[in-house]
Amino acid sequence: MPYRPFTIAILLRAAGSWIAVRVAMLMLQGMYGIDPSLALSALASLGVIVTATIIVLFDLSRLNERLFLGNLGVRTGALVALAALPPASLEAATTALAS
Amino acid sequence: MNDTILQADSIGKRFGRRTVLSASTLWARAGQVVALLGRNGSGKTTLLKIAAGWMAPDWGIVIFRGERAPRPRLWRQARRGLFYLPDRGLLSPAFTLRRHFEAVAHHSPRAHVHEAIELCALGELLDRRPRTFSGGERRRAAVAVAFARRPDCLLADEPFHGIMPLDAEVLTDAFRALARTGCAVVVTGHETPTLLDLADDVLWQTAGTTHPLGPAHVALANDAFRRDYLATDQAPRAPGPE
Repeated sequence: MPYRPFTIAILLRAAGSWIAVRVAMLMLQGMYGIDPSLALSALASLGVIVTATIIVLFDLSRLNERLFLGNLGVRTGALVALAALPPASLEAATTALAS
Repeated sequence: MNDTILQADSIGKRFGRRTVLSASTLWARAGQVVALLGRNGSGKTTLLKIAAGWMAPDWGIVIFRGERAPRPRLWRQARRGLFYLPDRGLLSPAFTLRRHFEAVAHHSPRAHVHEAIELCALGELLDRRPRTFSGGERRRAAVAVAFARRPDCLLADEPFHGIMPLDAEVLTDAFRALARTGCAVVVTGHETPTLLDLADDVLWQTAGTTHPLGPAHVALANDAFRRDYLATDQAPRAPGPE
């Protein structure tokens, strides 16, 4: 398990990024009437949101954390999956409830 | 040779239609510092990334401590004693330097944190975040983190780039100290006097392949190296055998 402060920070940042992406999509919907679910399937929409979350998560830190943790022997791919899990679960739950 | 810790053999890499590496070879031997030199765009960084497991080669193989890996992974090699110091930032802007050292100590039972802090003169920077550091401080901090981890093989990409001589001296001391512990060190860059002074062996990366030139004084006697890389017909002053 990676050093706890790093893990917690990365998970919190993933959650924050997901909320930001979600709010942005809702704003787009409110302002321009764009409904992502009309343009994309639920699964694709989920994929877009999770991918955007991961990109924001790691690009904001310019990949430094991936390199740093990789150098400590941490499987960063697993960490990315872990970070994607909460937004993916929430998106899946929301999609299921909406349908 | 038995003391070869890392060997990246016949490595090839293409980016689109451009072949950056066609048959490049890199090796790192215990207790030695190797300087990997070459023009901008010659593929030094790509070769280092591939050897570290940060980028996949299109062909070739990486052998690290006897284990052959067609597609090496950084995390796996790091667990076996490799450390890759990139040319850009290594440290997270979100955490203080102290947190970084704590993370190193958490993952490395044999970490030498205090020695690293002292060697790289980082005592006053411990509670600051790397984004507030100067370029030289950032470099010293990154090398200190690598030193603290006490790797068996360190691949450092352009560590001397854009730093003042005093910081360069600190880094040189750190690399030499690591080599004395038996670590195999590979360093790239264009700061020729510093690198040739530091290196036990010189590799020249050019035209997609690598040429082993031997010790610095032998490298400097190589006509093609002088002409095509150093751009001089005269051998510069460099350390030779006493």
